[in-house]
Amino acid sequence: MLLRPRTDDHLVIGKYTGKVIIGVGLLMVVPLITAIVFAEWDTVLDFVISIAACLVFGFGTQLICRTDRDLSWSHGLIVASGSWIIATALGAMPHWLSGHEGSYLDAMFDVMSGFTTTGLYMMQDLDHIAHGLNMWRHLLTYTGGQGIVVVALTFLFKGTAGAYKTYVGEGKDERLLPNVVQTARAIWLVSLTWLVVGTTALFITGWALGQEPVRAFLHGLWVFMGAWSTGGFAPQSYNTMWYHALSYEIVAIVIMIAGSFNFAMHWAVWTGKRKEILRNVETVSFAITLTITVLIATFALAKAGVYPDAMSLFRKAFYQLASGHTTTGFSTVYARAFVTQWGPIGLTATTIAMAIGASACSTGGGIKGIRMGVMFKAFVQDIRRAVSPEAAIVRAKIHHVRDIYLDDGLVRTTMTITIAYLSLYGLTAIVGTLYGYDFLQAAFEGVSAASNTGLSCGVTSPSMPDVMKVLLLCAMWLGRLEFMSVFALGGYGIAMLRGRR
Amino acid sequence: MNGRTTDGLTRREKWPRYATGLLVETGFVLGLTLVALGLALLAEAVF
Repeated sequence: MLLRPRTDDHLVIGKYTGKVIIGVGLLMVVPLITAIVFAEWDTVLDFVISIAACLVFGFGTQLICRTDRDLSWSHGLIVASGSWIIATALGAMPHWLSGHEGSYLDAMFDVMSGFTTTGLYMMQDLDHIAHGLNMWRHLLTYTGGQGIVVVALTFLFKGTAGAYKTYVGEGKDERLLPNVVQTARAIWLVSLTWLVVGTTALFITGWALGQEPVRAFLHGLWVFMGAWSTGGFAPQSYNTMWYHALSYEIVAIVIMIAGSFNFAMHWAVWTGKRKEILRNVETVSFAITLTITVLIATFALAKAGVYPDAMSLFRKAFYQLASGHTTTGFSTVYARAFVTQWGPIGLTATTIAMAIGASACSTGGGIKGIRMGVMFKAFVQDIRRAVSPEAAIVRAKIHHVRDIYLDDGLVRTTMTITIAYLSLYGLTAIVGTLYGYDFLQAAFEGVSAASNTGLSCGVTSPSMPDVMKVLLLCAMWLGRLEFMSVFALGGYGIAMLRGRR
Repeated sequence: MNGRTTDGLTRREKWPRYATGLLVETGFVLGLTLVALGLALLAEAVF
């Protein structure tokens, strides 16, 4: 029986959503300062208007929704999914005001793509946008990678009992430390340390390649944010192909693969369990599936003679596959090259890598390594049971920070989420095909959006039908939040309309 | 972030372990990169 939500439910959801939106408004101060430093006065005005809108919404909601009640589990899920939509709608204001977007829907598409660390974009004339707006694009993806709620948890929630519930709603259900606010801070510690190291490495590389220092620093910072968050945004329309440098590509690969690791795995390695990286089910699964997909693409490209030597083949194949598998979306080939040069096998290998995706509780998307590990172990366990004597007890385990024995509940949950991802991949491919795109290309683009990757074979563009834009936008949202919190929001809406009092 | 606000996470004596962890992760990625280079050389030799 569905119960109609009470006023108290609306108040508590409104209060916490308001806090998250205040966080988004405060985040805009960084691009505002950037625009002031570079004397981009039109952009300054765009951000002043946008910050004002976020603060009016956030404080206004808090003023209206005054309650001492804390969040329940269902509230947490609804706040997580609802605040992502409102943050997208308000976060799109600077994009739209800049004049670089064809419509407000395009601006929302780009912001959802940033928050969900996807990397697909509709922005026009990207090479000539203001530094302030570029900072906003990359900050969206960096904070989206940690999770908007993690940002609010760290700075605004101050350890409330309900905070963990919104954290779970954002698809991050691991505690690195006993307290969820400590966990959020540990995630930030790892991310900020990598920010300093990664940006410095890219800055030095860019400078050595001939960029002037300020430009080298800004590009280093933005490419780091795009790589670490597995977001895939870059400051140039040619993405990372613009740098044409093996050294830059290697540094980017290190950052994007590190960014795709589970924060719990990071924390284990960083606190002395060094062998965890070789034992963890997600890193083992990632190493195996990445090697297989790189092998397929490399041999297909070598057979077709697309690249003249082994080094070119390595640079193109490994970069695209690592980018796809980590769900980053950086690219060093033209979008249409996936179709015209890579062919069906290369395109399929990349699609499979994107579909599998990164680690759970990371900045990445996709089905996730831990689910691949669970399904594989469950499959092996069933075979072993079938060939063992009836009285034998066959138990399978995975290693993720500690040993975890498989039970039916774990396997069922894993299968449910995996089937949800596969259904979403299928839906986007079918709708794309109905709109006249080739099936393989529609599947590539749909999987890219739903797994929050951002590689494109040329389907995503401002001229794409609005229905496709909305579908891919929703696919990014569903994929990033791993379905449950979005379904909870849908259920809340239905309960408001049809629930019993 | 200082020691007080991050519950001791940033205490000075912890940084050598953090740095080692970061290097271990970098080494793992570079290992995967070498495997991919090996595959490219193999593919060139085969075709």
